[in-house]
Amino acid sequence: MRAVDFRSWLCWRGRTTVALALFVIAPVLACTAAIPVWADDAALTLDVLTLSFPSADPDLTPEIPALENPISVSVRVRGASTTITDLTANAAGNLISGSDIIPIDRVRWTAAGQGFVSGNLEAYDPQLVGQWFGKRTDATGTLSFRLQNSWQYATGFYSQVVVYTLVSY
Amino acid sequence: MKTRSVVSIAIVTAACMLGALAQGYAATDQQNLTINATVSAKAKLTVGVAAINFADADPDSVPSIAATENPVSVTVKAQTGGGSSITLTVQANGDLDSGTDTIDISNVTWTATGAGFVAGTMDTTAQAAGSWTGPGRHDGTFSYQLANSWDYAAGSYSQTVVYTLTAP
Repeated sequence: MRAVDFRSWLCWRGRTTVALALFVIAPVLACTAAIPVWADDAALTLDVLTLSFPSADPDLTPEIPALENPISVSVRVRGASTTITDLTANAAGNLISGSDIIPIDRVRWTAAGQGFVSGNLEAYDPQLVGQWFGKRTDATGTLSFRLQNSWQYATGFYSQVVVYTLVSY
Repeated sequence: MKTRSVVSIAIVTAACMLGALAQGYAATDQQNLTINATVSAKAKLTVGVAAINFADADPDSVPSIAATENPVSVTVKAQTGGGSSITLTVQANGDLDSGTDTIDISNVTWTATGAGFVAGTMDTTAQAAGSWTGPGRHDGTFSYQLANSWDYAAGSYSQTVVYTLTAP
């Protein structure tokens, strides 16, 4: 029968045990120091993709409502209990017609629906449109847009794109 | 037992590590909304009063009679092309008439205040009263005078003048 060097055997087992402990402790510390939060599903729907402001007399119509008002917006998120969901609107510039512009901040919206907020568009500066908390968000609201009118506007057909971004984290 | 414990620890460790790696994961979605706005040409002229009156006066004492309503406010508004010319003109439909008596309309003159507004003399042909470039609002005043004379026959004289604002 082969003799077993008990002390060698114990040292080997001891080192293995220590290695395993360190292997476990480090990630556990990482887990407890920064609890992971994730969202695994986010969906944004706008019921119209083009908004139109018709021409109007600035004296009679100082604020022009969009023809499509109100537009419906739906937000769906599935995540963790600590999930935060933000909806923002970012205009890619001013309203442009050739060399003429209308500042995009002349466009404002009023919001209805839980979590949705009103505001003004800004160029290259995301503006908050809505915010929700929790693992499950099913929000439906409306946005109604108005363009401030002015005798200072040159004639033309103006256009710009606004990017609506839904982020859950 | 020890083997199962090691395996359990390994599984928990792997889960924690995956969880740590998963920290900060975000779900996103985007939609584009195109905004269009149409601005068509339009022009609006507002004159503060619809009639002006020159009172009777001694030509020696009052050689130039000021209209009772002076100064008369004038507002010009236009949405037009950025480099388009806007013009305001005035044209009398005839001389000041009182039955068969007349006072030559050119005896009526006006002075103007406000950027773009100009003074002038009434005539039966269109006379410049103001000009501007591009869209905007312009406010000014006109003050009218009637040259007095002992040659005027007694009577109540009247005439209509037409102000025309043009913005392409």
